[in-house]
Amino acid sequence: MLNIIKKCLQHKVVTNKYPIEKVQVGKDFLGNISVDTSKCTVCQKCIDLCPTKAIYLQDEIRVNIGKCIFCRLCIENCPNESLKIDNDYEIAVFDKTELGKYEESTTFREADIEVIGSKVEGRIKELFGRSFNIREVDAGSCNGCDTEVSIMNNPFNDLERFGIHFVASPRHADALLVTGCVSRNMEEALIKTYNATPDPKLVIAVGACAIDGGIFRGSYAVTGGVDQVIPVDLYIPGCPPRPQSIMYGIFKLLGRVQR
Amino acid sequence: MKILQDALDVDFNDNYRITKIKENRFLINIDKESVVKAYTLLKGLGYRLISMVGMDREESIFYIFSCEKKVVFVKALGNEFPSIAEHIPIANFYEREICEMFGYEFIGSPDSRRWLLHNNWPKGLYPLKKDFPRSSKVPFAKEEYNFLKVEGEGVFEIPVGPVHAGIIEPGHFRFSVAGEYIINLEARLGYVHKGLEKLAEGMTIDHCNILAERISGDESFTNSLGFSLAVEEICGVEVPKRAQQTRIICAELERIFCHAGDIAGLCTDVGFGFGTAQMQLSRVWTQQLMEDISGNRYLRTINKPGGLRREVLRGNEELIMEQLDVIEKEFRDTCDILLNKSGFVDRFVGIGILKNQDAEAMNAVGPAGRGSGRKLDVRKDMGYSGYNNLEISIFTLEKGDIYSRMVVKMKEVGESISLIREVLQDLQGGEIAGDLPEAEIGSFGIGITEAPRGENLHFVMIGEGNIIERYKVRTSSFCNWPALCLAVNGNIVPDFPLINKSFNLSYAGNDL
Repeated sequence: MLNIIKKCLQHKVVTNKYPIEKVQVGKDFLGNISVDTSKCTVCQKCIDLCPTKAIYLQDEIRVNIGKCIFCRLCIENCPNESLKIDNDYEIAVFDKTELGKYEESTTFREADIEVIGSKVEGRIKELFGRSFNIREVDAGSCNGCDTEVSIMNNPFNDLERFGIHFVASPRHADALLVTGCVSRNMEEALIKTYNATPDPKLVIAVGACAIDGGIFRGSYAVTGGVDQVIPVDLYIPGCPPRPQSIMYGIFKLLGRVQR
Repeated sequence: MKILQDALDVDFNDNYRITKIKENRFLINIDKESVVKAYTLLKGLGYRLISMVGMDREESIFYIFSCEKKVVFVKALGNEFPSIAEHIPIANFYEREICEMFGYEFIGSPDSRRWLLHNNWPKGLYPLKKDFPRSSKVPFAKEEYNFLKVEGEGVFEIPVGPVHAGIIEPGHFRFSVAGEYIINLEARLGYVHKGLEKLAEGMTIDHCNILAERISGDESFTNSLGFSLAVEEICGVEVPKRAQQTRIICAELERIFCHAGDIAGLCTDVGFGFGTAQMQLSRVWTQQLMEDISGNRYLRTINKPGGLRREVLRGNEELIMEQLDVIEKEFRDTCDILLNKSGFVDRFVGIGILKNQDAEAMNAVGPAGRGSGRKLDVRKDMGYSGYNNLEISIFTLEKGDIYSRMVVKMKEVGESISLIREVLQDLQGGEIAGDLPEAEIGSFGIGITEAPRGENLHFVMIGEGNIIERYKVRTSSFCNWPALCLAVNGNIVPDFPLINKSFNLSYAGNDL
């Protein structure tokens, strides 16, 4: 017993101070990509190379960070080094079109789900201000996003200090946090989980796959994004997004960040 | 080759053709009727079946066998084969997969139900056939899956999943229980089937490498490495020494990250918060180190066929050494406390026993196999990527219970740390990548790597224009899932989460 206490006291507090202080990221960490138009010659090489078609031409070369899987192919192959990278990981948005263009609009079938309460914007803060329960659903991810979600609960991030809990049942949840491209075999389970969550409820799509299918888009077994199946309130880009990126998204959803 | 040829001469007369493709790689063409005979013969020579790959361009199956460094591809043409599941039970899962993906029949198969495609998939459509368009919108069929029924007085079923209580991937488990004891567990997987093998067809090598990194998130690096080894074998390129060393360091870091997480999970499942928190610390620090050296928390975007995409070690040698000391101390101290806590250890001893014969039957690999007395480690057997220059100790325990698997993992972390140190001290300079010549059309290669969960296998065939013609992945999870089901039988239901965690298999890596 004594050795356990001794071991517990061995390290100082390891929990980081996010969101008061930003966490230190690796020096090559890739948080966001944009195009330096002063250097870009619109050779379109990056458009051909991009495996998820996240780069497109609309007046100038643009990067849709929602579709980006951060594979660095464009950065490595740009002849003019015109792709700017920065380590800003606070890129969650309420509307994914803010991030760029998509081939398809959201097409969830309203017949399958009970849409009441999907739009609760103004009331979110008062309803879920202090305590927020999340049910995580993996709908076809590679388990990268799930690992990052579970890492939010470790001593380093300790999400529970904000009153945000991961719960075991959708019946206990205020929000669904969905990862993955929504595989054909998970579609029904996702809809059932959504319907089992009491109203009002929120849906958070985590990762490039959940936003638009990611690298798995265009497969026979993939629906291609959570919002093809159920309505989504928040999109968190990344492949996978780092824990603080997901935390930022949740805070943004709850109106707890002013940045 | 001589031994193989002699043995084949005795049994096959002239009904075979053996070709040496490369060093330690042999192709044997046989009639489909003699598949069983070939299996028995190779097994007698010490080979084990590691995968079966279906082909469509020329209707055939590659049965892949390996023995230490040697890999034998047994090719049989046709679309109807005798089932070998009776001789080696894991083959049944390969057969089920090939059957649903290509429509090939296996005569005498003990179980021909769907495996990865669910029963919502219409009959007569085979996604890996070349004439099946990749982006087809396939209608949903309505058919029920027949779980194995256990009958008898007081037997009832417990369905669990696909959405589980924890933050884990989806899969359905059907327990047949009598009282508390599990008589039979059937895992119904395939929920995260994303059609990865089909997606890869028609991709360039670079894109497929990126796809390989996303087979299973926590094995990103090893999977990318496996794919690269396969392509390098096809193109016949030798990777520069520095790239090989970087690969070893990255692969071992990934192993520490995974194993620490597994042990943390075991502590969570027995409600030992102290262990969880301390193990998570080792894990966080490992991941932090991965991020600090490469900028990527899963060591993605580092590796490519032919070498490395970018230099990650230069200037970081000291940082790695320092952090390794911290991680090692933390990990070792915690393990010492855990293993001396009788209340903790008691939960693991004698539970979830995977018998050695079951491990053989299902080709259980990795810590699961080693915990059941299988002395298998591809790093040592194949010696890929410069592992042959290192002295690797393989830890095996005979009992096959949760405790064995846990201890194997604990020891492997220590081994990984010393391997990284050894490599770092002998770090070579020079190039990090070589050129990749265009591959011959129809040439194929195999990359076998030791992922944290065990042996991963990547089979690649290159087609016209240097694009992927066929990509087959068989991760360690594919073999270990059926083994897990066998290990669970006879235990009580509340122990299932523990047994599951002690294997900690990837659903994504199984379903693809």
